[in-house]
Amino acid sequence: MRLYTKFTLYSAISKILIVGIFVVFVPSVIERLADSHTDAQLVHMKNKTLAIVNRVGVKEFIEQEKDSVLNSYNILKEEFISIEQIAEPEKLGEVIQNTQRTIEDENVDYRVLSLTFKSGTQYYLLEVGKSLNRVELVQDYLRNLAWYLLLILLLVTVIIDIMFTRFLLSPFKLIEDKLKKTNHPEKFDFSSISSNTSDFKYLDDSINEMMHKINDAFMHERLFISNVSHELLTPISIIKNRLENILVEKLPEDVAMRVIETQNTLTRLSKIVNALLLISRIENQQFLKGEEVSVKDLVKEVVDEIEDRGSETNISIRVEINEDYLLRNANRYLLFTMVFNLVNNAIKYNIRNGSIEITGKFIDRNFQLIVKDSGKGIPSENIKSLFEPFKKIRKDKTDSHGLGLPIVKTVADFHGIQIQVYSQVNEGSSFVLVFP
Amino acid sequence: MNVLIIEDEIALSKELEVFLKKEGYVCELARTGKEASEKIYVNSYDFILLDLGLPDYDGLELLKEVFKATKEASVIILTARGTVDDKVKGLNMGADDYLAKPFSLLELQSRMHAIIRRKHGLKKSILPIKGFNIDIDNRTVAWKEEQVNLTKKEFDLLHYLVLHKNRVLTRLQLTEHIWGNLMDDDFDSNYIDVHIKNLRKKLSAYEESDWIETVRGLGYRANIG
Repeated sequence: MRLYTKFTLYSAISKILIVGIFVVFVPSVIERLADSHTDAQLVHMKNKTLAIVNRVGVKEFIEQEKDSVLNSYNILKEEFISIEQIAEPEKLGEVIQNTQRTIEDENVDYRVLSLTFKSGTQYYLLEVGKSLNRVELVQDYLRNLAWYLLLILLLVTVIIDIMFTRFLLSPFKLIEDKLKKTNHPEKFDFSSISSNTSDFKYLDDSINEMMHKINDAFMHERLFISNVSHELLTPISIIKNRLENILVEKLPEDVAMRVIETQNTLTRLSKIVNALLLISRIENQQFLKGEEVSVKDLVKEVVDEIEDRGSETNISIRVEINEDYLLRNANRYLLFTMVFNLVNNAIKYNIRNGSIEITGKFIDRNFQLIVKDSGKGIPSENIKSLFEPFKKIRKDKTDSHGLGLPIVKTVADFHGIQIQVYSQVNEGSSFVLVFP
Repeated sequence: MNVLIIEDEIALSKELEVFLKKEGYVCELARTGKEASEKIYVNSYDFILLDLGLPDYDGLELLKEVFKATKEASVIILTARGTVDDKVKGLNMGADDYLAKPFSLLELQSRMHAIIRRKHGLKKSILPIKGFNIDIDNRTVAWKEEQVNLTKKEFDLLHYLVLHKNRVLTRLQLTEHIWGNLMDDDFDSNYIDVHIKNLRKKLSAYEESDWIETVRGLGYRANIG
């Protein structure tokens, strides 16, 4: 998962968590808030009433009314105050609770502050009430306000989070893009990114430095290969040309034969050196990959080139490629070498009057080129080491240097082609190239 | 014809000189880039064989100088470094051909022949040999009016033998010519014998082909008077 996605996800989850906490706690908090607000109002009303009572005197205060009870409601029955004389209560004091009162045949819920007190020898009950409807109204109002506030805050923080994450991570994305564009350290864009986040700076600088080191190593190896090839091939070249010049002289036949044998030995040496250099060069990325190669054409070219080699042992080559495949970003010369070596082996290790089938088709969405021979096959214990340099499975074949298949493997790797080998002793082998 | 061999390895340039002198070329040697860049302004050459890997000079720079100094000279690049770019760059800059070391002297000679043919527009692209007509441009062989059906490799062999007529060509030299620098892992194959056998069979259907002689143990020779 991408870092940016992770951040966004994390931010979303944390927001949801906060909302969850809010949903669980807000109603009770609001309720408590509203209650304490109401209670404070009730206490305030009580204190005011008591002040009047103190000034006027309880008796006088009540006697303004009949029944020795004072009942005062406001018109909307939102509040009331009452004082009455009572018998001696169990204890004096102040209680706040919710109760229902019937006023003018209407049941109304109130939050009521009840205070019992003694004045002279008489006990009195003072009640101050506030309609719960009114309280709930306040609660609703507060709750709505809280929700809206929450929503707005949530939106704002989400937007800020996303923008900020994007902004913060933008240098990271630049680094990532740089790496994505690079399929080889040589192609790396060494310009450093602009960021004041020291972590990113460090990351970018480190990557640049590593790439420089890798490039240096590549350059070093390239120079080494170039020098090795010069140092090895120049003496070979001298001997080769000298032998050619010697052969032109009038020589006794046996001497001439030995010169030719020497030439053959020299060819063997130079083929090994060239094969090793080829492998190193491919691994060192010294070959360009800018061509588009049609597998069908390639196979035809190889078969045209090689067909004659099978004529001596009467080997038939059948090609069946109904669907062509275009390999992009390829090196034609290398691919030719790869297919040539496979078909050459199929001829070399075949039996007299044998056959070779070259099939190209799509299997499971991948194009596969199969080179199947009717040869002697490869024992299964040898298949694993088939592509190792200088592993010659067939000890009787002394005229090859054992680098053909390693070259095939290197070229295949270079192009992202997979190789599978199936073989049955005395029935033949199939080399399968699975194209990307 | 004048040939300038620019090569820092004396042993190698000496072998080139020995060979080319026998073939009738006049050779001059330059061991360094500096020496070479002086010579190209003083003398005129038909061929310049240029080793790209000179110790004192960038080979491609020298190539540029060569083209500045002379228009007539044909340049064949010889190199043992063989980096991939060099070949492309050299040919793009106007070199006529490219040979990777180690190469066969005969191969060098036939490349030079091809360049001469191309440059000087030798009209006669049909070689009449023992009743056969070899069409070099179209790469076909005819007996009187009739086409002889040769494979590509068989034609190359015949052409090479005829080009170096009356001279023994070893199997190796023939192999190198028709298969080039192919990276296969065979270094001692008898494919040449098979090709020659097939070639003889095809030619014999029209006319005796015993002029393609097997020189026992050595190779083959086209005996053409």
